[in-house]
Amino acid sequence: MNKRSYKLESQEIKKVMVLMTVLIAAYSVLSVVCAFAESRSTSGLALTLRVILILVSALGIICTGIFMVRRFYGILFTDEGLIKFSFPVNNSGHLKNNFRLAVMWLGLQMLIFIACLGISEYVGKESVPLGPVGSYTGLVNSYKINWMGEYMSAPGAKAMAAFVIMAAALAVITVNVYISFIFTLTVSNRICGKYNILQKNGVILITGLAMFNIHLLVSWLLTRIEIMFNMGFLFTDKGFTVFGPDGAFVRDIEGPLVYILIYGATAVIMYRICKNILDKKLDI
Amino acid sequence: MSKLLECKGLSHAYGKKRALDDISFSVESGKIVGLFGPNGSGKTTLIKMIAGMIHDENGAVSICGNPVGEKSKSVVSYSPDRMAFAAGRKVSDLLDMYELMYEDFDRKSAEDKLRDFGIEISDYVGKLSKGNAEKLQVILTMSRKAKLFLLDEPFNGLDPVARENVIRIMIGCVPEDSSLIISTHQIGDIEQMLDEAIFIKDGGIVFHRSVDEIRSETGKSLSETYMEEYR
Repeated sequence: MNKRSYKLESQEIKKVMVLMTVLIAAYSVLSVVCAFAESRSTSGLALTLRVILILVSALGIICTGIFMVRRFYGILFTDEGLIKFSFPVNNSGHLKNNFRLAVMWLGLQMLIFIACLGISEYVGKESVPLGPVGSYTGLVNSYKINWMGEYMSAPGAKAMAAFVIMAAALAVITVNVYISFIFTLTVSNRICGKYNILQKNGVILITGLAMFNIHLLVSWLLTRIEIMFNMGFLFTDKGFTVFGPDGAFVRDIEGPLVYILIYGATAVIMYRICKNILDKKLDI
Repeated sequence: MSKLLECKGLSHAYGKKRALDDISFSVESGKIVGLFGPNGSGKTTLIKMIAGMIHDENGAVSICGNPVGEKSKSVVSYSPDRMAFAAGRKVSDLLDMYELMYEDFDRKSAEDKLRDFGIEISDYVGKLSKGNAEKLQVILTMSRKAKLFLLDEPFNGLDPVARENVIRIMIGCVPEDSSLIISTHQIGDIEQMLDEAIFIKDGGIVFHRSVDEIRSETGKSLSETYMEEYR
């Protein structure tokens, strides 16, 4: 990253900092209160607080995504872009910058969320339920057993490896969804510029709906593939049992890998198209 | 004198309407150039192309020998035809932003000029009057030691006294080896400071000549020539 891109990024970091600080403070307070409630044996309250923590974190991740997409919208569709695109960085530098920050903030929030669950788990008495993964404690123990060399239990190792692959697949899907929004805005900008359409929000809506339908179609196709070949990931029963004691990792790695491949490839294609439009066909 | 800006075969269309049609011209360093034409003649599109806001795949813009991009933008200071700063931003934030992004930005000079115009650094852009907001944009643009200054309609919303002050800033801020391209309808106000004038109409250049030449050949002021040309 050159010096100017770094400066641009530091500007953007400042903008998101307030939102991030509020969200991180909310997670931290909730997790500590949650842990305190558990330590006082008020498990009903603790469970409620955990549900709130999970909801707040989901909301936080969505808000961060919307905030970052809005930043990009501001550059492309408002007068702010006239100043931003005159900065001495390549036009696609703004895309790179936005994308990198979005991935960084979203990733950070997910890590903080896991850490907060960890805090409440460590201080509290009960295991934090993590759906198909089992519990946070289970996951940490599995990691200790299989990576720290205490035991070499095969099912635990498979569960851990499958968890990593699944987390990677979910991360790639998240990135793909984010890029889809950015792609919608960039393509809409191109359409508005080329055909001199002033109703930019209408164009964004139509392009966004088209993208949504393409996403639905791809998801549907992937589901069919997953079910047809009985691969375990999101949509088959096998997918939900993959982390259990009998999880068949060797077979089930295929499901998440197909998702990583398809969503990863389409994300790269969309990113390249956006970069090309910004560098060679910008019209603001 | 060396060519600071060179535009070759620039064209651009908005849908079916051609905004620019195969425009070519060059500007040498140290010149103050007026860009004139009626509304919709392509002035803003041309300035945006030079500033890198609009791309033309066929034509070429070269600034100090560099195509439009990171290098060219580091020597171009551009003020758009409308307020481009968000209302919720403080003047001090903008100063920070310009200082961070442009190595040639003279913060002290900008602060002095803002003080002269009665603009507080702690003010929010949204709280400024239309005229003061316009002055702020011009001051930030002109407080750089850029090679090429691009001002698109810098007198929007300014009263005659403020216009005179902005002109004073413009003249005082342009380094000797830098050039300034200014697009405005207030020809009479800036006529005395201009070296060259470019008249454009329907996306094409009508003429690009030195102002002294125009005056001596026609025996008329630039404003009168403009009225004659476009009436």
